Amino acid sequence: MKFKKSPGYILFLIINYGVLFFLAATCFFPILHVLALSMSSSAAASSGRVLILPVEFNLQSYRYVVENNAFLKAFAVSVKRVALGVPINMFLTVLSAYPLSRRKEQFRMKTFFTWFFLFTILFSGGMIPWYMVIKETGLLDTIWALTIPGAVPVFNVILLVNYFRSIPAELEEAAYMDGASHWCILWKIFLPISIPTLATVLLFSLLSHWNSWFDGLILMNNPDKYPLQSYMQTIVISRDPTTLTERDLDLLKIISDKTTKSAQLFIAMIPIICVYPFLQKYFTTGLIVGGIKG
Amino acid sequence: MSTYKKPIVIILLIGLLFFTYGCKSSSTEDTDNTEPAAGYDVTAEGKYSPAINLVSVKSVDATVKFLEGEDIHDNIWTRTYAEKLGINLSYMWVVDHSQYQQKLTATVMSGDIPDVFVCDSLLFKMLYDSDLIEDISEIYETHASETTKMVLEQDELALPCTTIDGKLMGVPITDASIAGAPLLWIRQDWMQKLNIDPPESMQDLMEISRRFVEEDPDGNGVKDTIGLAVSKELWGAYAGLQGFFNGFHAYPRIWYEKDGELVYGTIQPESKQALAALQEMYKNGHIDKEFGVKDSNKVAETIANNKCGIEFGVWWNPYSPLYLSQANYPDAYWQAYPIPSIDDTPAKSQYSAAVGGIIVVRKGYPYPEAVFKMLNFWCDNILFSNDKELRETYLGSLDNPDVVKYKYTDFHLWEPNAILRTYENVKKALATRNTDGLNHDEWQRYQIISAYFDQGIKEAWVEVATYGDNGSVSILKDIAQGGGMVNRFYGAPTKVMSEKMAALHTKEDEMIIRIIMGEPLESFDAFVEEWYKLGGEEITKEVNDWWGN
Repeated sequence: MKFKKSPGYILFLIINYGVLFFLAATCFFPILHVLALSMSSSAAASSGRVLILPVEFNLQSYRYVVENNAFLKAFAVSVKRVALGVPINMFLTVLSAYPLSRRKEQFRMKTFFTWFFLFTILFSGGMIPWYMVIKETGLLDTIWALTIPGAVPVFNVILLVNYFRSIPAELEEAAYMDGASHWCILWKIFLPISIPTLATVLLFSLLSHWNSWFDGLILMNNPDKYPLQSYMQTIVISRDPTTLTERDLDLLKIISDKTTKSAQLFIAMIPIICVYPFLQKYFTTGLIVGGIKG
Repeated sequence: MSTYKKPIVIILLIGLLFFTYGCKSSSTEDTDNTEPAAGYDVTAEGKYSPAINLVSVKSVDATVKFLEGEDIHDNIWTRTYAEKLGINLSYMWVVDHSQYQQKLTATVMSGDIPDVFVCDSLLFKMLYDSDLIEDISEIYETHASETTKMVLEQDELALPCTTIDGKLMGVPITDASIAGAPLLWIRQDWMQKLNIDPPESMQDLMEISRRFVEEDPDGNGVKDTIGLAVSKELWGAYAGLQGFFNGFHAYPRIWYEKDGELVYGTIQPESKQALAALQEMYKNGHIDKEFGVKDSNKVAETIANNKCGIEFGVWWNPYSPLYLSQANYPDAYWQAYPIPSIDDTPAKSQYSAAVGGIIVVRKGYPYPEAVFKMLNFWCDNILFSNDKELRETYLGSLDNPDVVKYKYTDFHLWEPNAILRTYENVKKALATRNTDGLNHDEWQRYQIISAYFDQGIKEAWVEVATYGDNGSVSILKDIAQGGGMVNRFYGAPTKVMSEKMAALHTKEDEMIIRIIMGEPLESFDAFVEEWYKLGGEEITKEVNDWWGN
């Protein structure tokens, strides 16, 4: 379809693209900066001469990362965590969302269970009880400590419940008339038409597993078992300069080594950057549709 | 290209040092070897039989590396404790340094207290109040060896830090208190270039700062230098403001004696004058216009980038971050000066007790003396030893400089006086060109300093600026002999203090940053009033009650 572009429309386009380009650039700039830092010489990086292009280009820091056992080990732990944690998340999200999306006549305790789930979003026991529960259940210091405590992401459940509720009741009734059980309705009818929301939920679950670092630090009893982001946290964090002593000098040197730090940051970003574009197309529709009450 | 070459030069230099040291120690072995052999027997007789179990927890950081096949649970120290002392040391958990306190708190709260562990003063007080740790006063008297006692008592502020109600409740991990005293660091090469004399007073310093800003000391033709480096944290170990305030006889963040009672330094009228001067400097562009958002890492960049010439920081600043300056600009040289004064009264550098951590013993642990057995082993056999083999076994060897073995154990203490003694010995050796009687560390420093003067190796300036003749350590000596202002409050945080001091500190920093950036000076007086109202009054009373006892 062709229509005449008025000057006002062209002006709008220019401004619109300008603003959007600027927004995109502000998001993209930090990534480019980290990439440039990782490929610069450490002298250039330490004196802040690097912006978005590498200064005195070299790949020393990547070599360091490849040879760095701790980084690779942590990467492996993270992959393992995602491989275990995300399927558990997805399975339980689907299983909890289906009953909660039923009408009250079908599921009498629905209100109670809905509040039961919501309660955990609003209140938490705090760090010490959380730690004690994990310790007493024997999960401490195992990969399960990272995957089981967050097995049901309630926010994701709510998204999916809302999507299920928006599915026309006729579909379900038709299947019921043909003799389908609840299992059959869930697997054969609901899930295939919920792909946008499932993709969104999958992305959320993936991101939260890949990005969380605090539980790794507290629940693992040995740095060897840290997932990637916990490991990253230990090298990226800056020491409080008011409590530094000369004993911290060698640590200070490692921490202020911006090039290797940037290289590790960049590599840690790659898996998510790879996954994002593929799930992105579902992301917007999934989120919006899920948010509308059916 | 030139930046690429430097590390090689340093490595070669250090390699050369160790090579020659190897030759040296073999020639003087006869005199050295009489002592250490005796040391082993002292601890051998104190061996537990059968062996006992000691459960601890450990923090590690990115610098802790192991030899092939070893880890934190199996290394030279765990093996030595088991073989020589009969102590089977095991760790409940090992965590990165940054999360140590948090994980320790979670562990203690959940009722799982390790037998022996290191904690900070806040948790220490809590453990004492909850009666969870053992009183070790008596065991200290009976089981600490002479050397251990000597090391612990060298710094008079150390043991009082861990004594509550007259009872010794933990072993302070000592460090030299004076190492935290601020000094003035100036770019010597810029001063020479602009033909400026060393600063005698605060007024001189501000004049130097003005000339650094206006006369283009870096010679790039652009007026892009600032005078004084300040980080947004304000009280850091480098680019801090303590030194500047001390020049005005103000002592921020510490408690000192005034008219017979302890007062809090930041809120005294002298601070107002310091702030007025800083405000003026900021207005004239002597301080980075954006200092309020630049943390100390960012300030290190400014220093590395040849953009500033004055900073207040502690004695080891050349090792980090000032070395960056010379790494990028080979002629850069930072020189330490005592804090100048605004009037005729000499300025005093402020410092506090340096207790990095406290070793405590769980209440009811049957072998509290095991702590001292391990500490004695360190102090008697390792700390003062010049035996090359022993040092390589327990501290780390040159073939593998990354593997620093003493970091595997928390039961090691450093001698607070070591800095000053090293300085004296190196100075004597440099004057006479005679290295007899130097220990390993001193000998190393002597060689590096000689390399600077004899061979013109500029990277060696770091040692010259610290342990050299007019280096920063020489100023620490004066501070140790009464030229300093000691934080008189060194107890565990009092009740209101642990509740409110953190909030007051934040308010204080905000006030200081705002005033430097141009808010009228009157808001200082308003802050002082507010400070008293928001808990300052109670804290002052608590501190003075503590002091009166």
